[in-house]
Amino acid sequence: MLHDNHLALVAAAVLGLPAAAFLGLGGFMFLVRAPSERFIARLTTLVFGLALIGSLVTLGNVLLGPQHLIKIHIGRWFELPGYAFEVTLVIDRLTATFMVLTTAIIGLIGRFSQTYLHRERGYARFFLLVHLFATGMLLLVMAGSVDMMFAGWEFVGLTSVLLIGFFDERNGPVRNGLRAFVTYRVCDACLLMGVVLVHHYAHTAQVDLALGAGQWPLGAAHLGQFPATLIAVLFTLGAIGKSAQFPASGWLPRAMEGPTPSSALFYGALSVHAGVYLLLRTAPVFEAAPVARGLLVVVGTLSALYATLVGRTQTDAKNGLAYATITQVGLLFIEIGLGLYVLAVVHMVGHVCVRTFQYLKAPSALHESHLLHAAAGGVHLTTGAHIESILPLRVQRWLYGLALARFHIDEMLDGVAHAVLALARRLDVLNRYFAALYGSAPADRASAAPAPAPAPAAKPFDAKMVRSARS
Amino acid sequence: MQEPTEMSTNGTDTEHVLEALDHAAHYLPDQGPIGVFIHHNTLHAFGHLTFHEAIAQATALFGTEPYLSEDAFRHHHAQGRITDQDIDAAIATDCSDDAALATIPGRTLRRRELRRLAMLHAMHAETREGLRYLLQEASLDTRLGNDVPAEAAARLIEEGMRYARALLDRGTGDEGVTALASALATPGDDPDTARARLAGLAHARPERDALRRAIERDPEAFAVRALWARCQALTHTARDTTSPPQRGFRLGPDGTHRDLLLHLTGEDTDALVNAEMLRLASAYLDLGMAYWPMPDRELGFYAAVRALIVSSPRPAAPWLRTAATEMRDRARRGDRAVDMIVEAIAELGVPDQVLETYLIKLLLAQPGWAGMMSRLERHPEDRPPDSPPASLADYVAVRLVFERAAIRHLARTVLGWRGPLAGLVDRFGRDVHVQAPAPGDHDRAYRLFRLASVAGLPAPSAAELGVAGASALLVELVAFDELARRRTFHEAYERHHRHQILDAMAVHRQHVRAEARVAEPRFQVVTCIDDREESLRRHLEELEPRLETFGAAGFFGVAMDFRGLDDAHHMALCPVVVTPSHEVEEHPHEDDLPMHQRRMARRRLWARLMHSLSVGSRSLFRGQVLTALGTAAAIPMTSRVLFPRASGRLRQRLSERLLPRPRTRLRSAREADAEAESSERGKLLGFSVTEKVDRSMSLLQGIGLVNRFAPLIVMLGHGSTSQNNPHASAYDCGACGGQRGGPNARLSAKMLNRPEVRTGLRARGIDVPETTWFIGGMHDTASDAITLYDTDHVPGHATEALAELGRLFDQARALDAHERCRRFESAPRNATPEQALRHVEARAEHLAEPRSECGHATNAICIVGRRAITRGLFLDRRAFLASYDPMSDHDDSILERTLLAVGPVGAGINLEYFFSYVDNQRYGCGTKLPHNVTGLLGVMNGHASDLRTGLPWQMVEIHEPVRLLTIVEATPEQLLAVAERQPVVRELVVNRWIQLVSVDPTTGAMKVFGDRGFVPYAPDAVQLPVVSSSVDWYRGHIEHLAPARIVPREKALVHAAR
Repeated sequence: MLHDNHLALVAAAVLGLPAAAFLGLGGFMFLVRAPSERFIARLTTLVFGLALIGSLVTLGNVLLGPQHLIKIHIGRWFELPGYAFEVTLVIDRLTATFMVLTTAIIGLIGRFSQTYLHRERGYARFFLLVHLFATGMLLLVMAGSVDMMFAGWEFVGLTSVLLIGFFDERNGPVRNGLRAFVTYRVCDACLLMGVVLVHHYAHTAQVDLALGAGQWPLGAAHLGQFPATLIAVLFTLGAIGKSAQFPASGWLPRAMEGPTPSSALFYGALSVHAGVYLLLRTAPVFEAAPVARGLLVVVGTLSALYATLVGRTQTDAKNGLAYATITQVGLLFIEIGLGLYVLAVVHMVGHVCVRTFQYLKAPSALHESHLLHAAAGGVHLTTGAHIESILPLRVQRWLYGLALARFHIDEMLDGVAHAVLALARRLDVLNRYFAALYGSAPADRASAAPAPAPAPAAKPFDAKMVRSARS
Repeated sequence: MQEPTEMSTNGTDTEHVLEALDHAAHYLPDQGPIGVFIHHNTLHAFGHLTFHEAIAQATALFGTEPYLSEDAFRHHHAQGRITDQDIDAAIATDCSDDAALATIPGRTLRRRELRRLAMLHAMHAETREGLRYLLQEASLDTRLGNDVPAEAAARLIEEGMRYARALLDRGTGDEGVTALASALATPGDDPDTARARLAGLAHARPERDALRRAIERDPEAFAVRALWARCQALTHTARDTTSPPQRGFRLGPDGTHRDLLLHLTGEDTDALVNAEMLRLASAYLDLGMAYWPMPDRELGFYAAVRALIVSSPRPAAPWLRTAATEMRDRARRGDRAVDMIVEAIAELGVPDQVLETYLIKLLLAQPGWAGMMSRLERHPEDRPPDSPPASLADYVAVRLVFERAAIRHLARTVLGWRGPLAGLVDRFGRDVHVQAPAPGDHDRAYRLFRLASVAGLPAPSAAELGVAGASALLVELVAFDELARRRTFHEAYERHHRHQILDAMAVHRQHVRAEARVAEPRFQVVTCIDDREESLRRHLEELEPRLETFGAAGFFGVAMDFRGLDDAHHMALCPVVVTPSHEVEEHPHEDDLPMHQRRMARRRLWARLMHSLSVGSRSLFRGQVLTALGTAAAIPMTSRVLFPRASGRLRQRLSERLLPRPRTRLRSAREADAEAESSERGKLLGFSVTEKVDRSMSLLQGIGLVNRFAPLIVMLGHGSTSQNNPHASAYDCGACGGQRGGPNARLSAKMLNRPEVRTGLRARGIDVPETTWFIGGMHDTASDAITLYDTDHVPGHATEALAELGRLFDQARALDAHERCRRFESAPRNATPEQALRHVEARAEHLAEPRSECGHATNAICIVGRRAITRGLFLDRRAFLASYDPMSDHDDSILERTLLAVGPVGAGINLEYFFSYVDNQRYGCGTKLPHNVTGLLGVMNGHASDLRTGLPWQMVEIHEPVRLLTIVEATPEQLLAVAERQPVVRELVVNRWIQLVSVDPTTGAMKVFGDRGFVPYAPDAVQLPVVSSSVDWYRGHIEHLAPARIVPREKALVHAAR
């Protein structure tokens, strides 16, 4: 059993290690050059090996120790009259579980990637982002205040987007990374509003003070029902984005553009469960907000049904896994909505292990299918076929078409986005009109004039360029 | 533009369209489902053309890279991989007329010199913007590039300085300054600008003394500026006043409607259409990835998609709605795919004469899926028999539905065009200016300047060229375009390698007797001709001088449909061009039958369990239970990632314990010829005695093993183990149709051991002694494991020899692993052979290892002849080695058979690697890391992309793209005769898809096949390094190694390796 101060040190070191590795590696790459593969590999193994040990020590102490919550004061960032920004970390059973999960999975996938990415352009960039991701994830998990949680949340989102666009020489990854980014932005805005409201209503952002200090998940939030509902709904919206729930699921299958281990790390293991963690952490708020819990159940149900239907029609390994992930995360949402927190944690940890392994083995799909087919004696293995047995043929076809088209959700969201953009453009024109009317600066007026559309015929037709655009 | 024809379908239209489609289909990739990977010439569609012509056409059509880049070649030149002699020879071959292009006093510039300069120094076309950058940021006009040879630079500066001084000293007063200013001026400068420019250059006032000092201080600036001014003046006056002809957009040659719209609007209809097509095509062709298969697939692609759209809810994307409406109409009419195409072509207004081109470009929007559809249509045997029908016409019909919908949508929303689609090109195509790229003045000046500086032509000499001289040089420079430069470089690159190998072989031959065989051999090992077996053979021979090796095509002459104990179906184990007529099955030994049954039952149980876990964990309710218990998955995941080799061995051990493998026999005997039993699949069950004798005979004769039999002879097939590798089949035996060749080796040995076969062979003149025993085996080229089959049948007198051979194999495979490890950057340096063996075993079991082995990445050579001419020559795993004894081949029939087996397989592998390396993004399938298995048919990139064909970067990255240097022990006359008889061989040889070299069997004289037929090759007298073992030669090297002679010291070779 460690003394609390020592435990605090150990826990802080778990967060500090990847952060230091990120800063060191990033600084070196920025100022000098990318270090050798060997060096990066050793550094990564060392960092996550130590971090895992630290996390295990923390978990052991938290589980066996007398205290259910340990708060670590790192310092005070700034102070205003009546307010001080405290940098704090919080360690409890939930946190420690996630610390172990995070460091173990990242360590494992880091090891996998050392071989998998050997000689790849962007090797150093990949590991730099992995360290940043680890920092963000651990910050999110260990944050003592919702502000810091948000900061960690943003690091997770940023690294996720950058790794989707890892192969930046092709269009697809960049476009799909952008889509994830936009989805994150919209949902993160909701989360940010929630964070601001926590400040507003609870007058503090400290997790233990605002969200309840009891033994997790039994703490009680110091919030009235209306503020709790408002905040919980906003947190739910934030979690929907990060955890790819209905209707913001479209980005997750599109995120399968990066190298296989980054898909495993982000969309099988950690990033996609960040929303689940947020909900678990803020469970006391949801306890006080039955409406928000109802919303969780509805969102989870819709996501699970939608994803399981769409997933059944996917003909490739990674998209199939993406929808399988959304299905289970939907169930996790339901479990949290129903207040089954411990089940949710157990389910989530199991899901992380299964899914990560499946992602890592995704390129084996062909081999495994042949192997099973042969072992089964050449018969085509089927299971269930529940939809086929229940629904009439017409409905089946209708549903298949809908599922193959992914329920047209992305197109509908595009439609909404275009409508918003069109509205914004009109408002902009209106704004300029009024600005011009009331005589603004000439510079502005010049830019207010609609720019002449570039004459399309001006540039010579280049067959070569056109063709390369095809590929 | 022809008017859209009336919307009706008649027979000739249909035929015409189908015919055009048939032609267009040739240009699509011909790769089948990836589970069986067959290496083939990526440019098979251009096989009837010569190699270089084919590349030129393919480059133009696909927009691909033809050869390595000029930069890469220049790098190879700097490294000595290409020498000056190689380049001169390549230029000389290509350009017989070394005409003088420009003559000035003291210097004549000839065509060949110009070409060499253009190759060795970047002299490519430069854009106006690029030139501006070079002038402003890279001091193009005041400093010599650092690739200018020192001698030329000295001359340029010296004479340039003299020239500047002479101008300055002209006349009196300001006259000299004016003369200098005008000599350094850019055309069009007025005198004041010119003076200002001069002042800027000199960093001094434009006065005679100050300028004289400036010239002393920085002669290079004046010399270079003077040259640049001269070049500008020459090209300025040499202006070509006729501007390049411009014309409007033409459908077909300039592209499809999509290309026009992309140019006009910047929006790409392919972005819309490809996504739909790939979703539908993969759902339709899926071989079992999706849990819920597409309905109505038995109707064919077009009808299935139509039915799907009709029964689906209305699409949300606006552009898709017209497609849905159209499909509903068509479903009511029940039209055929080809009707749809004919109508669509008419509606789009595609003129008849460009129909084929139009279709090619349409198909090339998504070559992977279109190619798969076409391949499966032509090769139904690539899929299980109950698969849905594949048809390229269906595919094109569906594509045209979406293509037109997208065009209509884009034309309406962006261009405001609501008229018929046929009018689109007429209305907008005129305003598009398609022009042949012609160099502008700026580019001409730049190129002339670059040429003059690297050629060491100072300003005054440049001036003497005159407009005509400059023009002549420029015409030549433009004509010797990038493609021609890269082609010439490529020839030089190949020549260097060819000479290195031929010289080494010539020297080696002086030291050996070509007709010599090993006296009293103790062992003989017959491996596949595969380049990866070269090292194993060499190590075996180094370890045991009385061991003799042979190379035969890895199916060992037995073409069969084989079903192993664990296989679900029969697989054709033979080269793809052969269709087996025999069927062979592996059966458990009678005594082990109960064991077999138990094993089968357990395997079935295991399969069901794994399947339910795999599907269940992806589904909703079962998934909840399974994933909640999923923490258990952490155990295999952790062990497989952290301890690949140990966990692989553990799994192996578990499977041996739980699923013990019974002893097995191949059922291959058919007693009497008359009572030919047929299997359910209509094949002959097993081989009759005559057939066995035939096959054994042809195998032994083919490799020249007709006498001096060793007591123990091993037939060694090969295959490769790797994890997480969709391309696994590409590492297996090419001669066994992308499968493992073990069963063929086993069967071949079994046949040769039969007394009745021996009797038959004796009757035909091959006397295999009673004491000789054949054993089949398998070499795993990734883990370097060697398995021998049916060792329990080995007669008593040979058991000791067998044990001895086992020890030899163990040493040899460790050395093989050791040699392979030198090429892996991630392998430990200075490892012992045993450590190296453990390393490659781990690679084969590692989930994260994209390079379990290097495959054929180093292939470059193919030698058909007696082993004596290559034994003891280090060929660095780069050579296919086919054994062939010209002395026992009296009517060239063996030669013909060998070339027919080796040529296409070797060239197919070589050319696939060639093109996948040269343009890995378009001919190959890019890096493996984002690959995603789709439909059990192939891989795509990440979330959604076209099916990627060709080889991944990790497979080819250490390849040297040279055509297979095929060296055959036969006279030119014999080779030409074979080529005359065999069109497949003729195409490879005459069109130069391989480099063919004839080696005279008796004299060893070599002749290289070229444009003018076989030309004698006079080897350079080179010093061939001599080492005492392979290890001594390759130790510490990671790069390709030149040949060396290995002359073993008497003993203790293995110890030397340690």
